[in-house]
Amino acid sequence: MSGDSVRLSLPLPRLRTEACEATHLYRELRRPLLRYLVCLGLSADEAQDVVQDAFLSLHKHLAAGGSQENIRSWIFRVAHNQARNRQSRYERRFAAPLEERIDAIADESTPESAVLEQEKFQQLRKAIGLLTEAERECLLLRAGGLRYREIGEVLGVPTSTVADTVDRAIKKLAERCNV
Amino acid sequence: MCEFSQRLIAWLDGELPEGEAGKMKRHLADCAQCRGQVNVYRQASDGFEAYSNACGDAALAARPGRRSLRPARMISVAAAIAAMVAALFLFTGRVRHWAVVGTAAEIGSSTAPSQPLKMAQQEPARQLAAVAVPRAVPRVVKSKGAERISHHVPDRRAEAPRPQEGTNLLPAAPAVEISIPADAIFPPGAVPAGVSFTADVTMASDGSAEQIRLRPQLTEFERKGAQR
Repeated sequence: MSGDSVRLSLPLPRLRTEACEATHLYRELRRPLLRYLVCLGLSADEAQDVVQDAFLSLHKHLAAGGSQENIRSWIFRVAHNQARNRQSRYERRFAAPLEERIDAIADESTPESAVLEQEKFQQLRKAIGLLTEAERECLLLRAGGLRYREIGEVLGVPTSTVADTVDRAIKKLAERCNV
Repeated sequence: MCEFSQRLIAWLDGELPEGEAGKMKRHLADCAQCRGQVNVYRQASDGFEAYSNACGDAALAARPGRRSLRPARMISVAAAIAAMVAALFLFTGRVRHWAVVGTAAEIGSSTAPSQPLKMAQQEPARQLAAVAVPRAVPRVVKSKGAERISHHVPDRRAEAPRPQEGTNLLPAAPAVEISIPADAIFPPGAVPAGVSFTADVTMASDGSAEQIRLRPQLTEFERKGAQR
């Protein structure tokens, strides 16, 4: 029976660790990633595609023995860049300001949006429309649970720049929403 | 405006170094103005978060993706991803690095080789994508501390009518079937002791996972009984 058996040359514990890691990350990051991508302007379908591609890239990265540090910012960066690639390829909804897209979304009432008081909702919508693209991206990534350092890695800017951008963006929102 | 007012948002985000954060906390206890500002910023921050989450979820719920994967199928996704990478190794002929996948040659040596397999050996890379590999089942057998894999073709295949040779080139035919032992899919401890099964992943010719089936793993005794 020796002819039909092969010795393991890749130890199983390593396979197991990678599968475990990928499963855990998928559970933790799938939702924030999808939200980030649709808020950037991708359709739900496009966002699903990008997230699946990103996790496939992550799997290849880990299987090739890539660094396991900063995985969260790694996968957000992959997704962010793929979203950007789609933007340059199609230049569709991206061209429309976030405000308009939110109008379209807000028409379909959901329990979540019902929670927000109508007036405050409108104020926020206007204020968000006035943010720069960099400010929006920073705040969206921050809402996705990323630290300043991680946001910097995703967007390719220094941590101090992220801190300044977040500070400026929150102050803008606070100013508009509390007059 | 006091000197601390420029760092309130960074403090709110927990991004200040420890020493500075401590100073800020003590300052906030004294300065009502900064406390007020922190509350304003917190509201703006929470508002943005709730708003973007609501918008994101609304957009995602409005048109469920045609190829969306529900969280309940997450394990299947992990298995499919593992299978896809395994398939890459299979196609590049570097299969000996992988624990649970046998090359066509290996499968053929342990079973009665069938016609499609011979074709696969002659033109490996191109033909494999279209030729259905017989359901050879790799099995991890633990013996004397060494993990070994054996392959055997389940008996039901012998009884089932054999497809006509050369007619397996239909695009719908599965390209590859791969079996992954449970302990390579689930985190350690997730599978109760004494329970063992294998995920059979059927890959379509376009590389997607067509079917994922969990199959209880037979004990050594049951396997011998089945072979007899």
